[in-house]
Amino acid sequence: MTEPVDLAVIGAGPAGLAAATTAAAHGLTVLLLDEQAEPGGQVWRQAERILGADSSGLGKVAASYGGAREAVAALRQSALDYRPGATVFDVSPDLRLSWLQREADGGGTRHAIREGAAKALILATGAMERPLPFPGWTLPGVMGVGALQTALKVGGLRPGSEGLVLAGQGPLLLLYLAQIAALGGRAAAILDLAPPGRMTAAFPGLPQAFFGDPRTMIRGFGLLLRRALSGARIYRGVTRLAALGDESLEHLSFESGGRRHELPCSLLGVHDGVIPSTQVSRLLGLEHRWHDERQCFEPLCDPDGRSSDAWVWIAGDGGGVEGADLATLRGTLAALKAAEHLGRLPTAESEKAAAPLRARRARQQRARAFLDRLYAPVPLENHLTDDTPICRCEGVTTAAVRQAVDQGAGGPNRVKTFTRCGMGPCQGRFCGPSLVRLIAAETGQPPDETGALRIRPPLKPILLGDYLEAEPEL
Amino acid sequence: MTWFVRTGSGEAVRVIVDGAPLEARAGESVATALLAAGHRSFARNPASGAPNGTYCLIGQCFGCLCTIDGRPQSQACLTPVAEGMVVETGEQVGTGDD
Repeated sequence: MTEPVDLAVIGAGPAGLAAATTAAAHGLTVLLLDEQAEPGGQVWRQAERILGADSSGLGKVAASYGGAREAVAALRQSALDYRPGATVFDVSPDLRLSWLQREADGGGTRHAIREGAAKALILATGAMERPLPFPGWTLPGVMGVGALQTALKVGGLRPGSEGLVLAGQGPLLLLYLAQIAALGGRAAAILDLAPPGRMTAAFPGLPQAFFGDPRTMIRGFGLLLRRALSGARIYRGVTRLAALGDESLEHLSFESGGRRHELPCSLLGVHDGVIPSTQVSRLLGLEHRWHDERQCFEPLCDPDGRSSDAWVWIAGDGGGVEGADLATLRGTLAALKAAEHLGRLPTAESEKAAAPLRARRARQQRARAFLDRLYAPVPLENHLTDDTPICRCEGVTTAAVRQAVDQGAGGPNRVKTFTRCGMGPCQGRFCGPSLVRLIAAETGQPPDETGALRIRPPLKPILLGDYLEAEPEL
Repeated sequence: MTWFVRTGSGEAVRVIVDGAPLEARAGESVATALLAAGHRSFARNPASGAPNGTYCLIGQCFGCLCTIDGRPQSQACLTPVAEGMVVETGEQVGTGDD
């Protein structure tokens, strides 16, 4: 067993990069583990390539990479132990971490199980798109808008001549639309899945939102304007969305303006906001709370990101979605507090640095509160049918889940036992969030009482061969 | 009829997909290389046998599992392409017997 490092950080997006480099700058030994091959997380995906790209091509995407250049430069200049290609599959309560390391080996790639230990841990595992189940959402050709954006950043892929339809709501959908427009792409239609009346509900918070974070708000209105100018046909208040096709998506059916519509479509981007990735925080048994407005569980944290475990902090969207700008701030804050807790930074110094960060965060959160209300999650019942699969892996339908609840399965883990919902390769990442909402709707019980799917190691499937080849010290 | 078109430029990397050569772009994932080449599905669903949608591209949905350089159930969206890499699509996810 090797000596524990002072701090382990999981995730090299904005929060993780800030946390790791800040901690290292204060003299801590830092291990930074990230699943991707390059730093940046999702929002700054392939940061070094995108920032270096031609401004007439993919460089146009770099406008949403504010802060990335400095963050990645800080990483490259730091002496911290950065391990890309590291898929963390277990973290024990005493902070021993196990991961599958992918590394170049001659002409090929080799995989090996690695283990390390840390005195303190910062989780910066980010967010994922909120799953929005509707009939046909498992067909090839239906993708998250975040996935389409990733394809753009990673492979330079934008939708081709067959035409793209976007369905959903939220800032990411608008940003993607603007990004492809800058590169000569377009969406043929946009299906706005927000129920009517959302702007009226959110409107009273608008002045506070502008006061709190004018930059984000101005950027947002700019994106709305660009949507209006994009030439895409906009259908509002869309319900009963269905994707249809034989082996892959061929057309869409939906209701809008009191009548049924059909559209030919081979590529559909779906988006209903993002929610924290809580696999590791759940595995560690940290306390979580249901956020009613955001319709998801979030780890319970103090204003500095410290979780219910005194040695574990959560930074960035994994601790509640607040966006990339605040993720950097939250990473810095968590690192200062971890350094203080380890006795490496006097409390007076850490407080002096933390106070202005907390104040800026509180101010900018007013814009987030407005966005939370404006883009409140699409009600599941607007699109679900009895035979819609909730669980993509196992094909478990809404009706099967409801039947299990009727038969006495009062929580997600019982439903899993009854139906196999959550037992497939994704281990409940894609069904868990909808399952919790569905059970709450069926039983009338708050999700804090029904709970979430239990998460066990390995967090991702590991081959038996990897274990057999593991170092003897394990 | 093209599903996706490439923008920008990059260094070419040659991989082998189901026995045929495919030109990919350095730094991209196996999943985007397959999408660019017109593959709509890389795997079949373990329960239904239907073609799996590749939904998230960030390692969460497991809809893109392929055999990569002989390693079964690899997440194509998290695997960077490499010169000479051998990719087999269309496996029955979850069988693990290959």
